[in-house]
Amino acid sequence: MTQVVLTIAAVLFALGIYGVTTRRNAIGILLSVELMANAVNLNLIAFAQTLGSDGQTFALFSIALTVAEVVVGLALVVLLYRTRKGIDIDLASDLRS
Amino acid sequence: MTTAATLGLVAVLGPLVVALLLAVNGPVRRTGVGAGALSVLAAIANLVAALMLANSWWGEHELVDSTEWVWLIANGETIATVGVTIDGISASMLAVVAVVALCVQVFSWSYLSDEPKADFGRYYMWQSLFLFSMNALVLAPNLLQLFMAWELVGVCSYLLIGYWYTKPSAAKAAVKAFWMTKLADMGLMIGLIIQYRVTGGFGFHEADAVALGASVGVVTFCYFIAVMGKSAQFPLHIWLPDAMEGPTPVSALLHAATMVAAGVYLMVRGWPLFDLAEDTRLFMALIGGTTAIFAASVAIVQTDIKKVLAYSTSSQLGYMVAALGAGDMIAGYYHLTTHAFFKALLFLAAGSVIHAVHSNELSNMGGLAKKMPLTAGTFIIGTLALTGTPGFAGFFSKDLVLEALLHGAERNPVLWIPLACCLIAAGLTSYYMFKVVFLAFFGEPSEAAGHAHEGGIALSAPLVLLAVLSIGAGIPVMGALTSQWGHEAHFHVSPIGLAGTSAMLLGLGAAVQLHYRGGSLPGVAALAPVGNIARSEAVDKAWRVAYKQGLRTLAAGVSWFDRYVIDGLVNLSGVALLLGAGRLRAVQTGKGGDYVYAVLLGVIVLAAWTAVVSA
Repeated sequence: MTQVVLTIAAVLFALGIYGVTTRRNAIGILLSVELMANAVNLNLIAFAQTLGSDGQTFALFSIALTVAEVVVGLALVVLLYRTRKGIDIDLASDLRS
Repeated sequence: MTTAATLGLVAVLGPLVVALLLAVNGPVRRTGVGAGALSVLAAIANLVAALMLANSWWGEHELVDSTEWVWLIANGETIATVGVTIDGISASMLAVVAVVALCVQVFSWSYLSDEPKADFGRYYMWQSLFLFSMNALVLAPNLLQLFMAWELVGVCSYLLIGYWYTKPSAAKAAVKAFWMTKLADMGLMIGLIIQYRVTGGFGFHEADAVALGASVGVVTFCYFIAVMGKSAQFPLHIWLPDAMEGPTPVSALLHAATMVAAGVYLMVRGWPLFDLAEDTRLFMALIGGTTAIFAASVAIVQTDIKKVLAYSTSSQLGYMVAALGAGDMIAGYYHLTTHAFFKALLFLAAGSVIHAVHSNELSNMGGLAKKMPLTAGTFIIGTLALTGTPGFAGFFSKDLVLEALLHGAERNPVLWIPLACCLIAAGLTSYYMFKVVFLAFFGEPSEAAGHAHEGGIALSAPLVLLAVLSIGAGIPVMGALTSQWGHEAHFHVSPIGLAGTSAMLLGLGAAVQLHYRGGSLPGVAALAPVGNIARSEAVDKAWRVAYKQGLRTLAAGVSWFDRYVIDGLVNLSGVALLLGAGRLRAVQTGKGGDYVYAVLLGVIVLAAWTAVVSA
């Protein structure tokens, strides 16, 4: 049972990474990040089955944290839209010298 | 502190106090006369102290007193001391320096009376500094203090030659003298370093000579290089004739009597070392003989009275070096003392003449014996002493030198060469000196000489005193000087002495025939090419070529290496850094995905590393 859950979590995490690296759309990237975060939550719950309920508590904390993170992330997207007239993250490539 | 040490300190510190006072106190220095009075007072105090020392310990063989203070300390050990050492040599040398210095300072008072006050004060400041340096050299308890004082007298020489520094030739001569002696001084420094490495000290006593062991040859050779520079030995003598650009009293004190004799004094001081260095002494004898004859032949063709005397000084220093090289320290040192008196006398008398006719050229003199009888008389006494006329001081010392060379030649046949050189040089000396006498003081007066007249008491008193010493420093001094060293030198008529006197008489005869009677001698015309060679300043030119072709080429090479290799390496590393950084800039794409890839890569590497480590 645990193995199945872990496998699903790994697949979700990989999908998240794929999304983050390939997406240009800022909201898409934010969604991919959420996928990765939830893959981790799944892991925590899976291990909680065998190692005690600490994992479930951590998962709850993690969900709360993710909510806060989404708020900040969406705020960034809004700002991006306002300053660059779009949500393509290639519009914000100022780190290139 | 003992009386001897106190007197020695008075001699050293008196002039130093005056020099420092005049250096920091501009208003006193610019009074001129006040500065001169202070300096002369210090010179008088110095003379009193020196005479008291000499009176008590003249010719004392054993060390009387050596008061030393710790100077340099490293790793808890004393490297060097400073102080005063009183023994027969330093006491007698101190007296010689003190007498000549006072004479010169008094003479300068009148000689430079037309100078601006500030320059007059500056002159006396340097005179005091020189007296301090020379006394510190003479009384040095070790070779390191001697080296310091040696450099100080070199600086004083530079400053005093360049006294008229607005005159380009004087400024050039000062720099030349400084560089030539500095080049030679490298030898003294290298020698000191070797001596310190081997013995751990800078002493000059028998124990130090023994401690040096096999290195004694190298060390003394290095020291002799410095002597060649300071005592104007061939081929490092070229700065001395140029040094005549300084005021004549300076030439009398520094470049005739004391400073140039410092080289010979170094060898006398370090005699225990030189005594053991057979090979160095042979080299010394050859260089001394060469200098004696070479400088004497160049002196013949000079037309400037001071240059004649300058080459003569170089030649006489050659005698001293040759005598020391032959292994007779007393002969060399005795000639140093007598030479100090009569050469200072000759220079001061020449200064008196120059003061009267306002020219150095012999052609502007003539017939001065009637106008300036005292100057003429003292100059002739100096000449008689220098040429070694029987009865005068120079006769006894030159006789001792020739005898020393003869004794040396009996042991080592090579020494016949310097002996022959010195004998011929005696004849040449007599010729050029009497030539100067006849051209300057006899014959028809030139226009400038017509208005000449004797100077004041300040000009004549030093002349008379030195003339007395040039006569009196004969037998009595020789006996006193040599007796306490265990082997009193008695004067006796010997074949070599007769040969020397004959050479002198031949020179005198030639001078009388050519320059007094105005006649001619057979074979003089044949000597013209030799005269041209002597006039050509070949050694000077050789040094100039060596400087331009050698030193400058070397400097250009070093400069090229520095500019293109050293600087090139530095620039290359800079360029490489810039290029590399340009390539690395491409990493910063500014695209979000690329940064995620970088993070991912980091995670993978970390994971792989953890796996490898834990496995």
